[in-house]
Amino acid sequence: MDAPVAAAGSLGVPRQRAGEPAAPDRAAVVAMLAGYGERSPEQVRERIDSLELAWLVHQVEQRHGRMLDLDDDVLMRMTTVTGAVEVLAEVLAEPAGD
Amino acid sequence: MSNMGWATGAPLAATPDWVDELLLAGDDRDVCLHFGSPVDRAALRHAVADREDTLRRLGLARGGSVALRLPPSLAYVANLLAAWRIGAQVALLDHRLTAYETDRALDRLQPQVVVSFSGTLPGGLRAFYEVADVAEARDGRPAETGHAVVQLSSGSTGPSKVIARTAEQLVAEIDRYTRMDGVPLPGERVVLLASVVHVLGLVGGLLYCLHTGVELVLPERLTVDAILRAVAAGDAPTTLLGVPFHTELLASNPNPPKLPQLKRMTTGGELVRAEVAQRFTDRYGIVLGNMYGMTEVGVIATDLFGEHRPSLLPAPGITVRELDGELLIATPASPYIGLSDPTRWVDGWLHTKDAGRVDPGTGLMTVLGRLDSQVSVGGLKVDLTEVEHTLAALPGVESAVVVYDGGIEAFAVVPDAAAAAALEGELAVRLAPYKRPRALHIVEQLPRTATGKLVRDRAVLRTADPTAAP
Repeated sequence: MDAPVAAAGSLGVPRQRAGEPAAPDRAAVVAMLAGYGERSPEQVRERIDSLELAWLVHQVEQRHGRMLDLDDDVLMRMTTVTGAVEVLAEVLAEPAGD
Repeated sequence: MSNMGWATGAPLAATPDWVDELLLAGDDRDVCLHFGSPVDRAALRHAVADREDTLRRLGLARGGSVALRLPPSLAYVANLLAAWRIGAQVALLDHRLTAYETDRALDRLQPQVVVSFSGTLPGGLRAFYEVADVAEARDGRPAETGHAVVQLSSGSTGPSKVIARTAEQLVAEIDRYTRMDGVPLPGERVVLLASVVHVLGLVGGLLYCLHTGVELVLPERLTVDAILRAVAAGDAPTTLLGVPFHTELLASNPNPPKLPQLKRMTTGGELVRAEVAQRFTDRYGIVLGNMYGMTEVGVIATDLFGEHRPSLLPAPGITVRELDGELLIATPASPYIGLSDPTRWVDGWLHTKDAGRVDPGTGLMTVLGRLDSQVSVGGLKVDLTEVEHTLAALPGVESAVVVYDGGIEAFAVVPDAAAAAALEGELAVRLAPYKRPRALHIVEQLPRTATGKLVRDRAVLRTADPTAAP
């Protein structure tokens, strides 16, 4: 397993492992959500429903090449684009669980 | 007069034995369900007997009424079969309904017993839940008709419709499935992605599988990884049963693992978009089948080999015709309790409100879209009029328009800022999450036609709120 290459981001700066893309920012999250139903980014709403959430989690897993171990409390925070960006920054900064 | 019950809604001659004979029969050790862990027939019969005992002690008897407000779970299956075994009428309430919606439904249905769950459910992409079910007697009424199951639709005007089906109709639907090519065969597996509380997952999934001896597997979560793990967990030929969203989700995986046991995916509801269907079949190398059905009837037509897309062949025993561009289904009696609306059912024909055509030469039918304001949100039917009426009735709302453009979107005139700020919270009390607008635009005024009618065109509405997405 790759070791983190950057110091822990205590001020909201995500850590990043070698070879793994940075945690998605807002525009990237919106772009991934827009992929469902082939919408334009402008058609993506702030609120994320459970179908979009399943879609988003899968897109992030594809992009980062690892499974995200998201417990229920974490998933509950991902019901808005803002919440999803925050959560993804946190969980992608953690070492992969496998 | 075998269809006496259908015609009059009077109690039916059928005894509750159908549950034992058609659903629960089988070898004790035969694994029939997989809800996180395997459930064999002995365990299922035990769970059903346990719930039957509880329901009987609360006074539920043949001809009685019970409402289940349970999420997909073994407890739901056990209570459903137990109530049917008693000969009671079961009302199925989606667990996502708000307390307000549930109370209104219970006022309407007046069940004698309500089975609910204790505690709060964990959130997040679950296909099933481990819940502790709690049954309570209430001051309700026995069933007024001989129907085995009743469900509420999202209503377009005022209260929602009560849709009811008899045990005979459920059995007839199971029989339709058994007479079609392309359905899972005894000894095979179904990984169910659709809700087991709604008609596709309930009859096409749960009841068909129990009857036929097909193992019904619910994945741990509705993520690609968990779905494919559920498929990989068994060797028997496996069918995925879901809605178009699930196809699109799975098709987004560019390199799915080799799963030789995966035989087919079948979806209900609207048609999977052509490019998604192509991507899915390219990536998984399996057949993508399609079904069309309604809560009122169950499965109506299928294209289980994906060979007629976008058309479908009516299921065995189903007669479809086209009238003024609308699809009509032959049904001996109205599926609605307490509704005599000739726009919905008349003279043995159910009006689907789906536009469509029937090819007189081949008998193939094609669904061309809705004729009313009903939309599908992840396979769940939502009537935009219900959302619009709910919003318009909230304090401070002068007028409102609700439209659908990839998601439910609302535009409302609310002059008072405090009332406007409270709208989202008020809606969350009155509407289940899947019915709520994904975007709520507070506008100074709504565009109207020259005759004063509200305009529903999304492009025109956008001009009312400059901040709305184009």
